[in-house]
Amino acid sequence: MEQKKLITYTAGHASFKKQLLLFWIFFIIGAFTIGGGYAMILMMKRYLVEQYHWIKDEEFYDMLAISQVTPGPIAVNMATFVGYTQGGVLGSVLATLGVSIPAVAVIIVIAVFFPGFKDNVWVQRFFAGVIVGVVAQIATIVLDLGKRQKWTIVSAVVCAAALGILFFAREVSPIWLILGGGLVGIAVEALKPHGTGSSTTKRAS
Amino acid sequence: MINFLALFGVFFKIGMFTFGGGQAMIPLLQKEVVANLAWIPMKEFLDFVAISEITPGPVAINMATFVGYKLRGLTGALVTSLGVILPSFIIILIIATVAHTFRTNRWVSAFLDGLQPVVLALLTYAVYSIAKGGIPAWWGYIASFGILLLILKYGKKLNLFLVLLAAGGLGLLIFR
Repeated sequence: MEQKKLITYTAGHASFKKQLLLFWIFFIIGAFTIGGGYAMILMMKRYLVEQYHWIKDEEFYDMLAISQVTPGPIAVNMATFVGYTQGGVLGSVLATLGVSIPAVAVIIVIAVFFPGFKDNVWVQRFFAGVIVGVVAQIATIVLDLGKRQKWTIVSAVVCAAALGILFFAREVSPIWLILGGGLVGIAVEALKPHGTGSSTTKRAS
Repeated sequence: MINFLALFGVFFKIGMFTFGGGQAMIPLLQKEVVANLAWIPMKEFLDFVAISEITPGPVAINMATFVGYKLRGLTGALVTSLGVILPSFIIILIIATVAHTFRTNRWVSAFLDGLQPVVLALLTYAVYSIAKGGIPAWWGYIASFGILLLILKYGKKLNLFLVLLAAGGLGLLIFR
């Protein structure tokens, strides 16, 4: 039975060119991430999965899930994760710097030159327009993830319960929901009849 | 004057204990730099939040740069930004070195499968809350739905950056 690998390792022999490309990709993503980390997911997937074929679909979503259970901004977590697996330690440093530099630079420019930035009516209108696009991009990811989810009664109930909690009890931190979902997953696995474990058990190895 | 080590320490701590993305950092940061340390007045802090939300890059890094710059200039901005990034970087680096074994372990795999529906719920909620907080008029929702259909129809052929710029341009025209 095949053993699914989370990450396709190329870190050991990544060229400097690829490491620079990692920097550039995450720099561009960082420069266009407006309205929080979720906004960059679709762009990242385009580059990493569809354009360069560095990682597979399910690896991408695994990384995204892990980036949400670990502390810190999701964009930074994803950059470090992808950077390391694709370009080693230098790759992770470059990708992380890439995603961070636009954020630092733009704030310094605003703080120094444009203190009235946010009160400008044109800025506000432009931003509202960008959000229209961002919402559409996140909705695209929702549909994609919904389509590839293995729907069972349990996963549907977990999803509905998490939605219910998010909408009606907003004080709950996402981390508890994510950990709760993970624990349900473990419970389901533990309750499976012995010997018929998931496809990832090493029964045939 | 606030020394760099204290500045670094506060942001390192916040980077370390903020789960669920950068937005989750804002209340924590407010408690620390506005209430406890009184480094930044509340009104100014809220201005920083408003700007961070409409500028490129993760909100957490925007906020760190703002506070650092305000308190200790350019060096301060770099110190705070590095402080908020480093915990993520270190933790993910450690995880990434063992990540290739995740899916070979039955329990880790079950854990990852179990949390996927929650990630889906979080993203769905993000669509709702970002739209509610940022789209000022009903025709914005129509436009958003139209863009969604475009992305679904043209897929890879559509340049997502141009889509955002075009959406911004549309915002200049339609939002009053």
